[in-house]
Amino acid sequence: MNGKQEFYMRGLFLAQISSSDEQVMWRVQMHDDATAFAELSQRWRGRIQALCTRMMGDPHRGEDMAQETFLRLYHKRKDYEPTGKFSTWLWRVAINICHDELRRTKRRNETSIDEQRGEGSSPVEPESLSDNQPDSTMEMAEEANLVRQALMQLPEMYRTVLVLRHYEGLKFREIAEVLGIPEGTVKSRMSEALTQFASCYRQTRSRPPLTVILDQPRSL
Amino acid sequence: MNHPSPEEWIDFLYEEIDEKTANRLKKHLHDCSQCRAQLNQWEQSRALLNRWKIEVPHRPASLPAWMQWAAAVLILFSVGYFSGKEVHSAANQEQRLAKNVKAEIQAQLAIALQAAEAQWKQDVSRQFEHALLRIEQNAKQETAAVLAAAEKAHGEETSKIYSIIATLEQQRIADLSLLRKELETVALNAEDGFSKAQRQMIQLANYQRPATSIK
Repeated sequence: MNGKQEFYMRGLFLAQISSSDEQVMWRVQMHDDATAFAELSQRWRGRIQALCTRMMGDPHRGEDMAQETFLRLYHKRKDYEPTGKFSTWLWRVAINICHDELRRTKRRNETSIDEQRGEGSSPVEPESLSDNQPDSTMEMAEEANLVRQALMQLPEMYRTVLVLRHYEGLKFREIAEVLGIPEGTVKSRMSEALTQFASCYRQTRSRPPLTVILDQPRSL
Repeated sequence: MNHPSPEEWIDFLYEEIDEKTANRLKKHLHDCSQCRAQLNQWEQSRALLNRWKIEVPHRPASLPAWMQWAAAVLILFSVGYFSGKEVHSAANQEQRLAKNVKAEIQAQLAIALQAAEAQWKQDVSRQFEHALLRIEQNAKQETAAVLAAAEKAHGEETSKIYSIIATLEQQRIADLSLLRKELETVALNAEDGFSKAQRQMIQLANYQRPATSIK
């Protein structure tokens, strides 16, 4: 190896320290590199879990779906096209898993009245919430819960666009790539999602809690 | 009044719009209460959405493997250094120890770095080879595909040319037969004319002046 090659190799060595997702995924794909896979999981676990939680409306199911996403990522590693952007591929895998699971749930007819009302899923619980906490914390948790319930009432196609743009901060162009639809369609879905969300939120807010309905005395 | 489309408003709302269009929309917003109300509703929806916050797992800062090894070596020798410092209180001993520890750390770091770099070079070489192989395979496949496409296009082109030539040939034959018929008609007409002229000439040659009575 001559001096020039040595120089380039050193440059590449330094570049290795901050490998892009695509480079790391390439190592997973070509060499089944477990360390590289762990690195990708570390980098993306948080965002994918947040996405899945918002799509499923439940932190526990969100965590399961995130795990499922990384499992599928590893199983389908040979399908990854190195010319494409890794994040687009990962978002697509996660969204598809959430959609599949939501459809399975619907088919199994597991949606009880509680779940339809958003009461069946684990509500939003701020960490170490206890009775002696200030009311504002309770109110914030209650507000978050209402938002979650309203979001879960949206049709999947609207919720998907809304979650990807509003919470995950993807550009409309990127969302179009992830979902494989025209950018104009993404924007029109977004406008409809925001409109429908406002309506769902109002309905959810005006509805009394289930406990109040159950506690009411029966009139004979 | 022409209202901007919802898509344009969404671009405006999420600031994915150029300055010129943004200024146009702002101007419209100033004049149009209907669009203002719509935008306010969407703004409220966005504000509500922000109320659902999720604690995402924190990603630990990751260091490359060689740095982790280097850090481990550094910690190990630092522990040794400070332990040694307590036991040996004499200043010259401390200095000597510190010097030794420093040299040792440097040596260990250099070894760790060299090992990591060698490993990395091997990986990169292997990756390069795989990448080159893959590129070569892709290039071959693409070349074959291009050649096949060119051959197909050439075949199609040739068949088109043959078809045009056949059409032209048929046209030529038709034109020739038409011309022949016309020529035959002209020849027949000419022959009739000649026969008629011949007959008249014969009649003229046989013409005899009628005898006149001389008185």
